Amino acid sequence: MGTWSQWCRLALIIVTMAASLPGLVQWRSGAAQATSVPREVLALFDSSEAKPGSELSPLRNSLIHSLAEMPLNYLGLKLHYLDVDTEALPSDEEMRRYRGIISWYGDDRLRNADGYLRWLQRQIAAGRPVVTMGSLGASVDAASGAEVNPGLVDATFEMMGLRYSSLSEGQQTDNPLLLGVRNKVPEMVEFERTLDGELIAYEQYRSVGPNNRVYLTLTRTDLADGDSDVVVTGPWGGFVLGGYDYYYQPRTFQKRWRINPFAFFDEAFGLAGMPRPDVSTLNGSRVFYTHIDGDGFNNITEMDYVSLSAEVLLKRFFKRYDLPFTLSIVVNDIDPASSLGGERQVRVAREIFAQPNVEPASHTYTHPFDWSKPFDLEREIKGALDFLNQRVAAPDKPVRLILWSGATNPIEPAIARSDELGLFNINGGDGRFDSMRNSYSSLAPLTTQVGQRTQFYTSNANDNIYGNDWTGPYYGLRNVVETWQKTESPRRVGAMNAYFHIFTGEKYASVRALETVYDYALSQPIAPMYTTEYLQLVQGFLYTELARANQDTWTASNYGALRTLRFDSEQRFPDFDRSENVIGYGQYQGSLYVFLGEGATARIALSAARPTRPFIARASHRVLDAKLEPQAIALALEGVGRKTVSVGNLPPNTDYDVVVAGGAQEQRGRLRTDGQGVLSWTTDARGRVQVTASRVADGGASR
Amino acid sequence: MNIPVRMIVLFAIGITIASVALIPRPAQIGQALELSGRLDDAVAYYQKALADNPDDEVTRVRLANVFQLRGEPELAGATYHDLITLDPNDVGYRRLLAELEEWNLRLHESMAQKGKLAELDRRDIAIRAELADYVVLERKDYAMAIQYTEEAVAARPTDIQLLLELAGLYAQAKRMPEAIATFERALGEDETEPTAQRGLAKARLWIDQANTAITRAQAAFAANPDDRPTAQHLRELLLSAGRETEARELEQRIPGLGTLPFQT
Repeated sequence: MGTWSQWCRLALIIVTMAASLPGLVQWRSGAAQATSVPREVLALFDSSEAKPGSELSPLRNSLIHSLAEMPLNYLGLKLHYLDVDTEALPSDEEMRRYRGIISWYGDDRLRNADGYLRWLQRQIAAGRPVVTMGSLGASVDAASGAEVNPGLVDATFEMMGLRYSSLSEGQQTDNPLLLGVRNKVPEMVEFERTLDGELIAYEQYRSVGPNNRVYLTLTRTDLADGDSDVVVTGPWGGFVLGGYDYYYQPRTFQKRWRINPFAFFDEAFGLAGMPRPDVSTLNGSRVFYTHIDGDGFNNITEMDYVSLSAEVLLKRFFKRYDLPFTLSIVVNDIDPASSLGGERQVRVAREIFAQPNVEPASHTYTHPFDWSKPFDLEREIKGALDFLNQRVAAPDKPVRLILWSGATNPIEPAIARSDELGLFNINGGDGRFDSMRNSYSSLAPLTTQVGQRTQFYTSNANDNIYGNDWTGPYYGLRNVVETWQKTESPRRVGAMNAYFHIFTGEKYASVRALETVYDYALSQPIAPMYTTEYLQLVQGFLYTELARANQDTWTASNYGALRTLRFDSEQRFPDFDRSENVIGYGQYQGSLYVFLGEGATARIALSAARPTRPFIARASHRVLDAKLEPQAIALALEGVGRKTVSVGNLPPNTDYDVVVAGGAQEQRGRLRTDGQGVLSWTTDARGRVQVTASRVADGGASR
Repeated sequence: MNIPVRMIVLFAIGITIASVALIPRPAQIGQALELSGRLDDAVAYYQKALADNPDDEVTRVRLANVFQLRGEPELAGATYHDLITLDPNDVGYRRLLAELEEWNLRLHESMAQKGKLAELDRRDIAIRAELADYVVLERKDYAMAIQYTEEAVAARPTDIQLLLELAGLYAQAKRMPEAIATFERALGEDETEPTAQRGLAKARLWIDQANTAITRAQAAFAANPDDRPTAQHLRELLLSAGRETEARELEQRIPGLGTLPFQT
C-alpha cells in the first residue's frame, strides 16, 4: 500500500500526462487539425566528468553523443545538448519544445543535485519521457559533497514506476557471486553481447508502474526478495542500470551495445508509428556522396613519378567516373605565394574545379591540426574562401563548403564564421562498422552541437584512418565497403560516403583501392549527389516538422531538400488519393519508405490497401515535375551520374514509347513494363533530363 | 711479347665466368624494378626467380610486399601462406600474415595466426594480451583469456600489471581463490599497489558474502529438507557463486521435493 503522498503524486502524474496529450484528445473528438509532434530531445551531460587534456569537447566525449545519438537520429530524433554543470536547466515553458530528455552520466555527483531532481520530477509529471541511462547521476551535490535527500531520489524513481530505497543504497553490490538473471528479453538486452558471465552491477529497483515493461530482471541470491528490474520502459520513458547499457573493453576501447538502442529508445520515447526523416535514402536509392580532403595535393604519385596526386585523381577518377565529387583544397598547397604552391598547382586546381562533376570546397588555408589551439580564424576560413573563389573556382561555381581539417574539432567561432559566409561544413564523425569495429556504437551521428552551432559529420571513415595514419595499408579504404554493407542491412542506418584525401592519388595501392570502392558503389542502387546536397538532406532532417492528423495520417513541413520519410515496422502503403506531395514509396526490410515530391509540405496518409495509381518505385536522382498516369508519364531527373527511374503500377507487359531529353541529346525507344507493371529506364545523359513515356496506342500488351 | 695461348684461353674463361656471375639475377632485377616503382615488372621478375628457386624465401617476401604495394592483399596473403608452408616455425612470416589479415578485416583469420605465434614464441606477452582481449570480446571465452594471461604471467612472473589482469579475469570467471592468490602475488611485488589492495579486499568480501549466504541457506535447507523453494534458493546461490557441481547435485534432488512456501 502506498502512502497518501504517493497516491497524490500518482494522481498528479495521471492528470498532467493526460493534459499533455492534447493530440490524443483531438483524435478522439475527430478534430481535423494535426497535432505537432516534437522530435527534439534534450540531452543532459555533465562537463565536470570530462577528463582533462582531450582535444575533443566534453560534449563530443559524452556517452550520449558517442553512443546514443546515432540510433536516436535513425529513429528520427535530433538532440539539443545542455551541460548541467555550467548551464541553467530550461524552464517549464522552454521544455515544451522537447519530446523528452535523455541523461547518461558517468558518476553520481551533480551541481545542485536537489534542484536537478525536482526539475526532473516536473518533467516526468508533465508527461515528457525521461530516459535515464546508467543512473540518475544526482545522489551527491557536486559543490558541497553532501548526499541529497534520499527521499528525493526515491520519489524520482517512484515517478518512473520504480521502487528504490536510497537508505539501503539499493542493496547495491558488484559481487558476481551473488548475482543471477531472473528474466530477460534477449532481443532487447543482449543486442550485441550476451549477459552470461558479465553480471557486475546490482541495485534494487522494483517495477511497480502498471504500464511498465521490464526487459531484464536480476536477482541478488543472498536476499529473500532480491529481484531487481534494471531495464525498464514506461510512459515516463526508460531506465537502464549501468553495466547493462553497454559493454566496454578498456584496452581495446571497443564498445558493444547490450540493450538494443533502436528498440529501447523507440519505446522509451514513444516513437512507434512516427515517420522518421531519413537522410540515407532518396527515392528508394541509397544516398552516395564523395568528399575529399585537400591534403597531399602536391605529392608526386607512384603511378608515374611525375604527376601530382591531384592530377591522378583528375585523370583516373573525375574524368573517368560519372559520379559527383566534392574536392577541397588547402590553399597553402597551391598559393604561389607559399613555398608549396605555384602556377602549376593553381592550373591543376582550376582544371579540377572546372570539371562538370566536381564541387569545389575549402580545406582551409594552412590546415590547422587542432582547432582548440590558437590560429588565424579569418585567414583559415574567409582567406581560403577568397583565394579559391578569386583564383581557382569559376564564378558560376563558387566554393560553398568547408571541410574541417586535422582533429576536426572546430570551435564555435569558426563554425559561426563559416555560417556567416554561407558555407556548409563537414568532417568529424568517421563512423565505421566492420569486423574490426563490429558494433553500431562505432558509427557516428549526423551532427554535433558546438555551442549553439552545428558541425556536420561525415558518414564514414577515411583513407587515413583505414591506412593507420597513412603508414599502410595504403589500400585500406577498400574496407569501407564492409561498413556500407553492414549499415545497409538489416537496417539502412546511413548514407554511403567515399571519404578520402588527395594523397590517395599518390600510391598505386590506394588508387587501386579507390577504383574498387567506386566499382562497388556503382554496382549498388545508389543516389549519387554532391556533399552539399547530402548536407541539405541533413539540414532537412534537423528542421523537419511533423504533425499527426489522425492515426493513419501525418503531415510534414520545413523539410527542405529531404525527400524521404520512413515508417518502421509498417506493412501499410501510402494512400495517394488522400496524400499530398507523395510521389512514390518502397517497402524495404520491414520499413515503408515514402518518397516526397518537390512541394514544401506533404501529407502522408497510410492505408492497408495497395495503391493502384502509378508511383515512383525507385529513382537514382531527385524527381521533378512528376506526372504519373497509366497512359503517360512525364518527369525530370536532375543531378550528376547515371540516371535510373522505375515507375510502378502500370499495366503489366505493356509497351511504352520513351523519350529521354537531356543536354544536347535526345534518346527514343520503346520499353515494356515487367510482369508487375514496373517500367524502368536508365540514361547516361548529363544534367537535367526530361523523361516522357506514353503507352503505345495499340496497347502493345501481353504479347 | 709472346703470350701463351693457354694463358689467353684461361683469361678468356675467367672473364666469361666473371661476366656470368655478374649478370644480374631475376631477383636482383626485380628488386631494382621495385625500387624504381615498376611494380608490374618487379612481380614478373620475382616470379621468374621463384620459378627457378621456389625455396627463395627472401624473394617471396619481396613479392608479397610488391603485391601489397599494388593493392593486391589477397595475392600477398597467398604468398605469406607459401612462406609459412616453407617454414612453418618462422615467427616473422606469421606476423606479417596476421597483420595482413587484420588489414583485410579478417579478424578471426588474423587471430588464428596470432594463436600460432603464441605457440611459437612462449615469451610474447603482447600477442597474448591481444588474444585474451579478442577471445573475451568476440567469443566471451574467459577460460581461454585466462590461459593466455597465465602464459603471459609465466613468461613475466613479476609483472604487476599482468598479475592484476589475471586476477581480474579469475574474479570475472568466479574463480575467487585463484583471484585472491594472484592479488596476493601482485602485492608480494609491491605491497602498496592500490588496485591489488582493493581487488584483494573485494574478492575476500565477495567470498565471505557468498559463503555466509550459502551457509545460511544450507542451514535452512537442512532444517526443511523437503522444501522446494529453499532448495531452489540454495541452488541459485551455488550457481551464482560458481559452485556448479553442487548446484547440479541439488538440482537433481529438487523434482522430488515438496512445494512448501519459502522460509528464511
